[in-house]
Amino acid sequence: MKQWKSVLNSRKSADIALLLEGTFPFVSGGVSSWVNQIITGLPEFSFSLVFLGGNRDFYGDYKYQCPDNVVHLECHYLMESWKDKPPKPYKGNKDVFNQVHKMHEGLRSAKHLINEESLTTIMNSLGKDNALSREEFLYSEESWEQIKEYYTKYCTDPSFVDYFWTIRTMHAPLFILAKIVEKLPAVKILHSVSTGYAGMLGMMLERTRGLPYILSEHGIYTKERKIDLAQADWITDASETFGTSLDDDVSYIRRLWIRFFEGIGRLTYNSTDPIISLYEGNRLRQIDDGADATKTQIIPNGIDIDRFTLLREQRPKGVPPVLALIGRVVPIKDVKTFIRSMRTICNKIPEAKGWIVGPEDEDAEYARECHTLLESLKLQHNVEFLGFQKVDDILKQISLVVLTSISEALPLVILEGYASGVPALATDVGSCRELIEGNNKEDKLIGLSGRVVQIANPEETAIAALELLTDEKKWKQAQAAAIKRVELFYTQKDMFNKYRHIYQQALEKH
Amino acid sequence: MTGKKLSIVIAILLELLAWFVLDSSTLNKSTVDEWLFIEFLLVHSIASYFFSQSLLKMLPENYSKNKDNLILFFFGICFFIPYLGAIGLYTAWLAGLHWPKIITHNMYDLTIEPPLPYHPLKISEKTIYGQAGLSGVIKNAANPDKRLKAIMATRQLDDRDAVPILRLALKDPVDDVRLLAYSMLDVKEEKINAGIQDLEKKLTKASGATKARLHKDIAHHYWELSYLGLAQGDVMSHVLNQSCDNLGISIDLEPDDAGACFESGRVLLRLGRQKEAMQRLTEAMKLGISENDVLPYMAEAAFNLKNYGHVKLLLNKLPEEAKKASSLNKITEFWSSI
Repeated sequence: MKQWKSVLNSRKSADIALLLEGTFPFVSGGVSSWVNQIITGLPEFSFSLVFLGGNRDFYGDYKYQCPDNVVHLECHYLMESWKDKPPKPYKGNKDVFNQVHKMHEGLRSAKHLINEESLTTIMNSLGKDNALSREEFLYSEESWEQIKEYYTKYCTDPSFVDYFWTIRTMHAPLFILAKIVEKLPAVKILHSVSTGYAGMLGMMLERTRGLPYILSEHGIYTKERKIDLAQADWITDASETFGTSLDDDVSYIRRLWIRFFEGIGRLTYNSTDPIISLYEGNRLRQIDDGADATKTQIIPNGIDIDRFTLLREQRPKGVPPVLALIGRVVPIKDVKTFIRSMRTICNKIPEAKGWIVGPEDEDAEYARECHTLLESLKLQHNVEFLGFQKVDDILKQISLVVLTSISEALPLVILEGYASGVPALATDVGSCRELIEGNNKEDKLIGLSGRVVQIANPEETAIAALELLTDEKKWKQAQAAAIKRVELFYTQKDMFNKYRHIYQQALEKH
Repeated sequence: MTGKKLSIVIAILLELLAWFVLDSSTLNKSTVDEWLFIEFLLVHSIASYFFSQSLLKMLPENYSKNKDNLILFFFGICFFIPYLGAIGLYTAWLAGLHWPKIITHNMYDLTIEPPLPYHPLKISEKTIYGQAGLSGVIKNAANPDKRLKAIMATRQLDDRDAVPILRLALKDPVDDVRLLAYSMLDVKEEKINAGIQDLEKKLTKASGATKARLHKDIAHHYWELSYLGLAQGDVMSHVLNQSCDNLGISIDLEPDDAGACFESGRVLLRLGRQKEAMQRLTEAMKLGISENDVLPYMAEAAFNLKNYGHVKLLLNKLPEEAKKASSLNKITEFWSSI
């Protein structure tokens, strides 16, 4: 088996550069598993991986084995963008700053226009001395004048100091990206798994090297950032502090951050073709966020059905009251709602078991809160935290895969459950409704392969679980629908063929 | 003779001696005797050391702070450039004394700090949404951005008013709206849960009156989870039971705590334990909680116990002002009329 060490900064050229922000190979989860699946499933292509993280300390060991067709890995940490030389005065390049101004004006306009000429100039100037180096952005007179002008013209918050530092903080990582662009070993295709900074890096590479650029989005990065930013308590809302009315106005700094991520999302969509999503809901969302509809397409996740078929025969007879939430113990999975629903389920079926199967190390504080909740609800005998387990061992013992997540894309665990003959109970997020009730007419005819419930609603979750666990006929119907659905619409073979075709087409363009 | 002068004299004498040794022995000889050369070096180095010491002592205080480096420098010059090195250093010293550096008195320039751009915050005095309006926006506004803004506006409401609106938004068809509502509810719930955990930690070290107060505070946090609507169904029963148990312990420790009795009565009422609620509320009134506050809850317990005569009696006991309060007005009117 290949070692990660042997490919780390190896600088070997590859067919495809995968641009990864906060996922594979250092973080486990749906997106990382998908990346691993694509790399290992398409051994005819060689891959170069660019990992972008926040702070170096957030990431531990490699969570996956190194696939044989990975030839290069480089890791960069965006929070380290400030660690550099002491400041000194610069004049700044007036022409380049004029192009920066034109591009901002375009993005700010009602139609969010992208000025191609300005964008090309900026991309070719970024990180270069006497053009738009990091130092010129941070310390030049031109930069200072532009920040001052924008504050006076647009900022509705009173603090210039907050505005100034926000502009510096949000743009500083772009200079790290410029360095990556300069040094990345030769590749033929770019493939990003999100917009955001990884998407921006792809856009910069596409502009400077003229490479074909593919985007596959699982969740919608811009949407997730918007939610984070709407709640972020490190941004102070001046109107909230001083205002007395039920004003709906959000601080300018908060809106500025949201607009920044919307902007880099648009720039990414503008550079990529195709723009791939997992299901129709996300495709429409991408179009809403600025993607050209003609470039969008859907490729759902797929799984290796054969691997799970054997598990169906190993299942116990009947419907044992065992439910499992398979996923990382993190807030987005809303494990607490699962625990709370178990209180109601256990009141009706005292021997019911709830398993939480997944690592607890990603958010230790949240995991601790879940343990406390479990104890306070006196569920120690019914609910267990099993940690990371082989999913096959779990699926053959349970009757229901439960997903109480507040946000999902197309969860692999539901498909794996289906292939093993286990129906699903999931919240109405991402493509869960399509997965359970069917997508198109043909799919809907198959029937319900589980139940869909509202998010953060333990009562409704418990009632739906009890309905399936206590009525064998309904459970069997759901099981049959689950098996049929996954075998017809969600096979790994289909997914690999579609990506193989996309990569081959892109290589031809190259 | 001062130390400085003595050092110079010794240094000059030693230097002369060194050269005398070397000159007398090497006169008319083509090679230098090895031992004599070593003797010369020894005496010359001692002489160089005394020169360095004397120079160091003659320097103004400001210049002689870094003594080790200076000694090394002076010694190096004197040792490696015999005679001339020492003469050069003394000459430089004399020149320094004769032509001292002119001290400029304009040591600072006045620079005025350029003002940063600034404009004051414009606060709208117009109320865009009323509380009821926010629910209306979430239920009826077709544009999801409007619904998102309505959710953001709940940040300016009390939790008691904001929670029902946020729970309503959990059913929104758009993901963003649901997610924002969820995360805002989660923050509220997390604050209360963190409070409970903090108090429970303190409880392990507490005793007597402090312990009673901590149990009462924990009960209040649990009560709040239910009161704000953050817990539902079986989980709500659970938090109410936790509240009730903690109040029970608090009252056992401090039986005269009127507030704990009153809160316990309200929790028992919510749990459907009417008789116990009635008992606790009666105790609370005896211990000093005002009739205005307790009687409506006692009337509610009596009503739930189907003791309608008692309901009328309890409501009639309410002072006239309390009867007219907007929340009770219609109820008291109805019960006095039958």
